[in-house]
Amino acid sequence: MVPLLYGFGVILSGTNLLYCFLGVLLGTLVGLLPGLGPAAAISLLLPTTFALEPTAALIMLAGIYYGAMYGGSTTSILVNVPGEAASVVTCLDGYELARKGRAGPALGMAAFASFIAGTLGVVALTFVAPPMARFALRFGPPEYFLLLLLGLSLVLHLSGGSMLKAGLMAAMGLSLGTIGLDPMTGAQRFTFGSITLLDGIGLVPVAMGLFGVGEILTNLVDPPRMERVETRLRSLLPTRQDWRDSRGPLARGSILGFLVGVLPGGGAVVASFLTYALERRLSKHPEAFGKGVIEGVAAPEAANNAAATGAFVPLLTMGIPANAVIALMLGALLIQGVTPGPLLMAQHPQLFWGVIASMYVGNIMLLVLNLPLVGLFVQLLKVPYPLLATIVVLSSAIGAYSLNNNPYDVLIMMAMGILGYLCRRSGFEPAPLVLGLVLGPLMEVALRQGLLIMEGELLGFIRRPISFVLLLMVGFVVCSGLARIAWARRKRLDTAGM
Amino acid sequence: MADRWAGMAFVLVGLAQAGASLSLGLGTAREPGAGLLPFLTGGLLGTLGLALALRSWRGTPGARREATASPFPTRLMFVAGTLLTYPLLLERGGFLFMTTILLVAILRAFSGARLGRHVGVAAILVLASYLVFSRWLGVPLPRGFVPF
Repeated sequence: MVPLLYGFGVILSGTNLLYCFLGVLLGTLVGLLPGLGPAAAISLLLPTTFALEPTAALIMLAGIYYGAMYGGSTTSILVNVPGEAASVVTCLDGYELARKGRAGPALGMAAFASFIAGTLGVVALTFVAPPMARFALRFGPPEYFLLLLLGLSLVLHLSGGSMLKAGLMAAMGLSLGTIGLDPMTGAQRFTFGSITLLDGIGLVPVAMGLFGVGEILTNLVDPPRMERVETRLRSLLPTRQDWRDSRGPLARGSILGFLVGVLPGGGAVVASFLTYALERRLSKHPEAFGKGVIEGVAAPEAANNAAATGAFVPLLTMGIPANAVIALMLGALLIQGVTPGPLLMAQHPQLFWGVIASMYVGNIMLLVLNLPLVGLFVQLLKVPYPLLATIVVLSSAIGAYSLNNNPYDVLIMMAMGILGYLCRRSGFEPAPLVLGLVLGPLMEVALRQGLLIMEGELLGFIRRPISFVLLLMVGFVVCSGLARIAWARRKRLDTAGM
Repeated sequence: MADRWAGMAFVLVGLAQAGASLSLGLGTAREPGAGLLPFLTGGLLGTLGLALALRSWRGTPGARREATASPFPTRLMFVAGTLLTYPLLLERGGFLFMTTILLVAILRAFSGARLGRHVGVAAILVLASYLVFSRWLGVPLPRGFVPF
C-alpha cells in the first residue's frame, strides 16, 4: 500500500495531475470523434511527449487510451457509429435504447460501467503487477526473446481478420525494424547510403502515417455515416431496475475484460465482443439483446475499460505490448531511454506507481467529464469531418517534421499513410506492422544475446525451465493457429458444397 | 486478384531482403551476425507471401471474397499525389506556402465548397499553427522562399 501512496504523491504533485487531465480529456474527445481513435491520437501526440518527463508522458498517453474507452460509447449510443473500435458492440443496444428515448440512462450506465470496471481493473493492476514483475526478474535474454515471440504469436492468433495477413503485416514490421545500424555490431543494414535511414524507420512517422493519415484516406473513400437520434438528455442516472439488471454483467465484464486485456493480442475490442456474447448466452431473455437492453451497454463498456487497464500489466512488468496502442507507449518510453520490464518498478518507481495511481485519479476525472459534460461533448460531433481531417494532416506533418527537422520523415509518414489505406482496403490490419516494428529490435537483441549466453547451443532453450515452458506455449499457440486456419478452410469448403 | 499480387510482392520483397542479408553475414549460432534477423524475417515474409498468393490462386471462397478490387477514385489519387509531393517541396516552398496548398487539396477532396472558402480555412489553420509551433514553441519550420 505504501508504494501506491508514493504513486499518489507523484500524481498529485507538480504538473502530473494536469497531464493526467489533459490525457483523459483528449482521450474522451478522440473516443467521441469517429475516424480518430486512440492509436491515431497517441501517434499524433508522440512528438510532443519527447519534451516531457517520462512519467508525465506515460500518464498522459495512458489517459488518452483509457479515456477513449469512455468517449467511444457516446457516439455509439447517440449516432450508431462507434467512436473507436472497442465501442462497436455498444452500438447494438445503446443506439436502440436511444431510439426508445432512453439515451440518458444508456449514457449514464456506459459512464458508470466504465468507471467501475476501470477502477476495479486498476485495483487488480496494483496487486498483480508487483509479483509479476518480481517473477519476471528470473527472465534472461532467451526467456525474454521467447516471451516476445509468444506475445507476437498471440497477437496474430487473436487478430480479428485473416491470420495470414496479420502475419504478413507483422513480418513486414519486423523487416522494417531491421533497417538502420545493427544494434550489436553497428553495421549498416538496408540504408542505401541514406543518412535518414541510419537511425532506422522511426516508430512515430510510421504510426502517424498508418493510423492518422491512413484513416483520413479511408474516410475519404468511405465517409462515416451518422444517424443521429434527436433526443433530450433529461436524466443520465440509470433506474434501480437498470442497476439490478446490470450488476452481473458489470462484474463479469470487469473480470473477463481484465483477463483478456492482460493477454497480448486480447485488447479492448476482443474483450467487449466476448463479454457481450457471454451475457447474451447467460441471459434469461437473449432475444432482447440487440433491441435495447441496458445489459448490452453495461457489459461491453465494463469489459473494454477493464481490458484497457489490464493491457498495462504486461507492459509495466515485462515490457510486452498487448496491442498496437500499448506498443506506441512502449516506443515512446524507449525513445525517452526508459525500458519497461521487470526492473521498471525498482529503477523508476515514480513512473511505475505514478502511472498506476494516475489511473485511479483519471477514472474519477472521466466520470466527472462524461456525466455532467456529456451534452457539451456531443456538440463536438457537429465539427465537419473535412475540418477534422485537415487538422489531423496538419498536426501529422508538423509532428513528423519536428522529430529531426527532416522532410524525409514527413515523406515516410505520408507513404505509410497511403500504405495504411491500401492495407485497410485489402483486408490487412496495420496494427501488427506497428507491433512488429516495435518488437523486432527488442527480439533481435534478446535472441542474439541469448545465443551468446548459451554459447550457440540451441538446446539451451529447452534446458532452461522457464524458457522451455515458454517454448511449449509458443508451439501451442502456433499449432492452434494452424488448426484454426485448417478448420476455417474446411468450413468454407463445406459451405461452398465442395 | 489483389491478394495474388500482394502475395507475389511480399515474396519478391522477402527474397530480396533475405538475399541482401546474406552479404551482411549470418554469423554462427555462437556469434550471430548482422544479417541473421533480416534473413529470418525476409524468409518469413516470402513464405507467408507465397502462402497468400497460393491461397488466392487456389481460389477458396474466403480468398475470393477478400480479393474484391479496391476502388481508387480520382480524388484519392489527387490527395495521395499531393501527400507525396508535399515533403519533397517542403524545404524549397516553405511551410506556410506548401502546407496551405496541402490543406486546400484535402479540403477540396472532402467537400465541394467554394475554393475561396477552402483557401481561407487552410490559410487560417496554417497561420495559427505556424504562430503556435514556430514562434511560440520554437519548432524550426522551413521558411522556403517566404521571408519570415
